[in-house]
Amino acid sequence: MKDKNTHIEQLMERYFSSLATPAEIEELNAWLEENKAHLRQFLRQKNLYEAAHPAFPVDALTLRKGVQALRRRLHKSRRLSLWGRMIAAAAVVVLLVGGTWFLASRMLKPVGGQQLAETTVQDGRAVRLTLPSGEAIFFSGEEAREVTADSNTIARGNRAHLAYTSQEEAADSVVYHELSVPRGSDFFLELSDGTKIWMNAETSVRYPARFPRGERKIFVNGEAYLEVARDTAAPFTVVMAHNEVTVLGTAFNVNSYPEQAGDRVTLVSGRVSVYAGTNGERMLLQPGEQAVIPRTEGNIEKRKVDTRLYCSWKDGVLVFKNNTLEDMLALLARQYDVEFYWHDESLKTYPFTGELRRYDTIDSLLYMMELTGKMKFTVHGKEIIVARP
Amino acid sequence: MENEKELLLALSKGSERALEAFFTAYYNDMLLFAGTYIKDVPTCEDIVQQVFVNLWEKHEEASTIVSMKSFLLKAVQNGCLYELRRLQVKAKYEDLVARNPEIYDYETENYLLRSELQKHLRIALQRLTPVQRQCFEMYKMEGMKQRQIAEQLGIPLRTVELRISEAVKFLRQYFEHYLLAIIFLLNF
Repeated sequence: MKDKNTHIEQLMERYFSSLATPAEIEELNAWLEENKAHLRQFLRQKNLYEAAHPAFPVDALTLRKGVQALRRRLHKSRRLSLWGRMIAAAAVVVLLVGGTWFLASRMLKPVGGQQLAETTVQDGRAVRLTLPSGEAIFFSGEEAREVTADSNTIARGNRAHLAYTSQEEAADSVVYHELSVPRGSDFFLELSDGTKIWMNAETSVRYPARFPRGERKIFVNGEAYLEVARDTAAPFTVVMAHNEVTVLGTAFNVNSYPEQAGDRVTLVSGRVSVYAGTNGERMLLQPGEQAVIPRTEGNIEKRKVDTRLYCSWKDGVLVFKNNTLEDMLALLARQYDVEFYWHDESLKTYPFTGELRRYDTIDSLLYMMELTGKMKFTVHGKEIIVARP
Repeated sequence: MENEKELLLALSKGSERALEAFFTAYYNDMLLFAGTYIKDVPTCEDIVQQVFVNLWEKHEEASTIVSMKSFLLKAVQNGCLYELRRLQVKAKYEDLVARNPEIYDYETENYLLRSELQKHLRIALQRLTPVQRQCFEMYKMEGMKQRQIAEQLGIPLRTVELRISEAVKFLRQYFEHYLLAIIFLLNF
């Protein structure tokens, strides 16, 4: 009996893998006709064969593309669901931001008449430097390369940092460069005046390759930590899509990620003045203070904060204090270029306090978070499912 | 799938997030299930996507679904059989299905998805001793020759042979019904 069974199993294996001869198929059919238990066994083995031998490869990318296609189908015809309306609202916000950018770049068109890059959209995984001509330079390797900005200014760097050096202090005409850091990366930028900028993931900064006399102005979209070189003769202004920060010499963090309620400016040392683009309100900040500047309407809010919570990312440390899991994973998604899917929405409000070091892979971070026993992560490539254990 | 009841409830109330959670959990497995009927990837994608669109259009009824897995398997199977009929292609097992519908239904409900099989295998491998698992994985999963394994680990060939045969013996006992799959597991 056992031999008979093994023989049938081998027969089925040959049949499933299309190796069976007509005589063998006939034999298998006769065996299937004998009783229903045989058919059941056959179907189970067929199932196992299929599960072990997929017809085609599927992976996280298949899933990601599938999700996108599903969303397109769902929103093609029918009335918009709440979620759909939220996406539409987000699209409007993005358009508004884009519009402001466009306006700003038009208004600030330099005297030399060079074209400014109007887009902050990032393509690809490499850090991108966009020159006034529209030419893009990608920094992806360890090897350093040089970019000539003008006859007196040279930028030198690789995928992790870029530094400008200039022979002369001031420029007569302003040449703007724009640097874009994609999701999953961060970057260190040193401007021609010695100002240091730590750029977080998904952030772009537009700045003059060499500053003009008496004024330093840069544009930040995303999150950056700045240590501004002191120059009392030339105030330094950081312009976000909606608001501005003006400083003399100081260290502070600006965060204008779109998912936040407003632009956040956190002062570590020195003094800064923040300016709300909507109502022209100005406010001075002292070290240890944070301003939340609304983007559409309302007044600037000021509060005392632990600056480490907002600035330690530049040192590769993520500090959380009663942050919701949703906020925290949004941050990780950006820094590691992954996407989280929620099996259980109630986990979103789970408060998280702690310090995480930025490891090379997200796996070790997720493992540490799982140690709380409150959540479980299932990783499929770049897609990560969040569930209860 | 955890929290399936809650997700089904949320879906019945119109939560698109719930729909996406189910989609995320089952999409790849359902594609592979469709692939057992139709080998064309875009056609399979289309069928599975449509199943989820239909589910969304009738989401009010989602709370009556007992098991999402069997629901989806059934729906994908129907979609595939319909497509094959439309193309006037005879499904490989159609006669068997037609003659024994109740058995076929039963087996569909108990269908083991690829992701489930992989999970079973991972659990089973955990039960091996570390040295057995090491040799077995190098042999079956990394496709190394027994002689290469012996050289790399600096142990006698005889020991490698012994460990692999011990591992296979254990897995045979552990799986019993899943035996055939284990024989096929060269691909994992």
